[in-house]
Amino acid sequence: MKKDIIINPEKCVACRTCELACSLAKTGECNPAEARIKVVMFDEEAFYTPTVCFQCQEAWCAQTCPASAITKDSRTGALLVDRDKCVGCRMCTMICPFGQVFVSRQTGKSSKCDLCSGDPICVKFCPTGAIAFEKSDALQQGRRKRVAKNLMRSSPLEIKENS
Amino acid sequence: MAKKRHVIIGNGAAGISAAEALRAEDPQASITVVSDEPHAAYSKVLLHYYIDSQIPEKGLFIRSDQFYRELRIETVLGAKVEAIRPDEQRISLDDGTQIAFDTLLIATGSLPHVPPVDGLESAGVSTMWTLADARGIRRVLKNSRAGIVIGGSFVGMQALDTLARRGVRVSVVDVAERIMPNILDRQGSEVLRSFLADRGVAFFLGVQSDRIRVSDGRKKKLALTDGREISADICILAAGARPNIGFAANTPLRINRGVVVDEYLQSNYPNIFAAGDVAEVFDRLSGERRVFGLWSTAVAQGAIAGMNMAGKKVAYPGGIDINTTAVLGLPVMTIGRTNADESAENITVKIFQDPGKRIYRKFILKDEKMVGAILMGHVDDGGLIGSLIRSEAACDPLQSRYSMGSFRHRLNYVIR
Repeated sequence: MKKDIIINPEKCVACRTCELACSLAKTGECNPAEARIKVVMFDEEAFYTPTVCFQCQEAWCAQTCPASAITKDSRTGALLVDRDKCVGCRMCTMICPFGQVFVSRQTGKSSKCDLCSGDPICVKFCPTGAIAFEKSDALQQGRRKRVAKNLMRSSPLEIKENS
Repeated sequence: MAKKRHVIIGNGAAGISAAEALRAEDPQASITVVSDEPHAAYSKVLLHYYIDSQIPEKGLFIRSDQFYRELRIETVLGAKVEAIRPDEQRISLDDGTQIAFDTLLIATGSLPHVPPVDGLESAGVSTMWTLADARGIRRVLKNSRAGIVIGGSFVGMQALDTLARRGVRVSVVDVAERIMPNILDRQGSEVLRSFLADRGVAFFLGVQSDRIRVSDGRKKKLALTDGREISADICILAAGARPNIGFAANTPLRINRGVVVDEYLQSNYPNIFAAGDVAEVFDRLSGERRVFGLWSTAVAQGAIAGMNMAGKKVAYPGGIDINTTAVLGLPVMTIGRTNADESAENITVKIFQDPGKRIYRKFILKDEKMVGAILMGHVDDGGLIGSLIRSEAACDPLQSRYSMGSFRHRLNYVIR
């Protein structure tokens, strides 16, 4: 079974080390704007959490991409952007309901989490263990499903089947 | 049970998406794709990247010949559909061929609107709609220094961008008083126009093109109705599009602007569906019928039509107008209703602007729910804003985090 990036918001202290590690590994510079994982902060509630691509099964970025530049890696399950095909049109940015694809200012191409070929660097550098890379258990899958369901209500396709 | 015969007219975003969904649902059925263009499926929305050589021609093609073989999709390419005969369950092609169907998808896309200007048949005057157009434009561009784009809407901006990137001095002409009037508000149009004017683009707005004359072989002069003249080597027509309903004469299919379909993308014949630029569907935000000329809606509609052709019953929730482009490096994205009547009591508008950074962001809320956004300069949260609109979550527009920050916050709050 493939591993997923599992987020435990309870452990996140908003240090944003994951962002720096990600951007350094991917672009050669510590620039949070280029990070593919982003920490969001609710200051009033002192609640912080990293957010990152869910590597959707039914991935609207991939289905919508007019250059067919986004494909699923069968080994890691990551959705990968082919830089030679990507034109930077931002259709993926516009269609991702989770806001997890953006066009890099550095390359002009789409940028998203690729699971670092199955060994994500953000996980290694997270000092509190808020980001884990593991086979998701039933509880985590349930949480993911709930998240997805919450947002499926707002997905571009929003399939409603008549019973 | 006999194998079902599914026929899809159109080899674009909707047609391909439908064929894939059909094959996934029905491994046995026969699937035939008919197209008047002779190539495998390619992306019309990428043509301008090809014209200025950001991608090679093969970068336009989104499916290979192998794709059709693997999915066992039969193709009839380079053939125009002359008539659809719903009662006889067959279509006729221009070469006389008849193709019988059990279910039919009309995914013929759209055609560029050609404005009433004299002299459009001159060499070097072209629409920017098909691969053949793009090849022609590339040839003319080799010897072009000045160009005219007739039409200041979406495709016009892309034409402007691709000409300017090739070092061509561009003039944009439109009868409308402002650019991208359908998706930008007045202020947004002006932000974009002044950004482009600062970079050397000339605008002739609120004036009609009258006629094109050719002198010394290839130099063209476009005369405007107010007496002014613009010289150019190349002229691109980008005056909007209309559904491609050329097959529609004498058909009992219900056609208004496009092929009228219900929430299952079914026409007035239960075994005939329509999807993409040719389909007249519901607008999710206004509830009214309209045609969406968008790649992304075509993909979604195609997938749903394909499932329904295979016998499922999947409803299309209605389209939302979403657009993304970048003009001379300035990203522009619009989501939802961007031209709401701002004097209405339940409409709130919030604008965040940083002219120095070329950022203009406008949010439109109706009854405290997000219904539309115009994003220029900073567009990374466009997908999340789309989610906010679709989920009809209540928003507080006065929060500072809505300014340059990201909607990620709010949405993750919803997720949690």
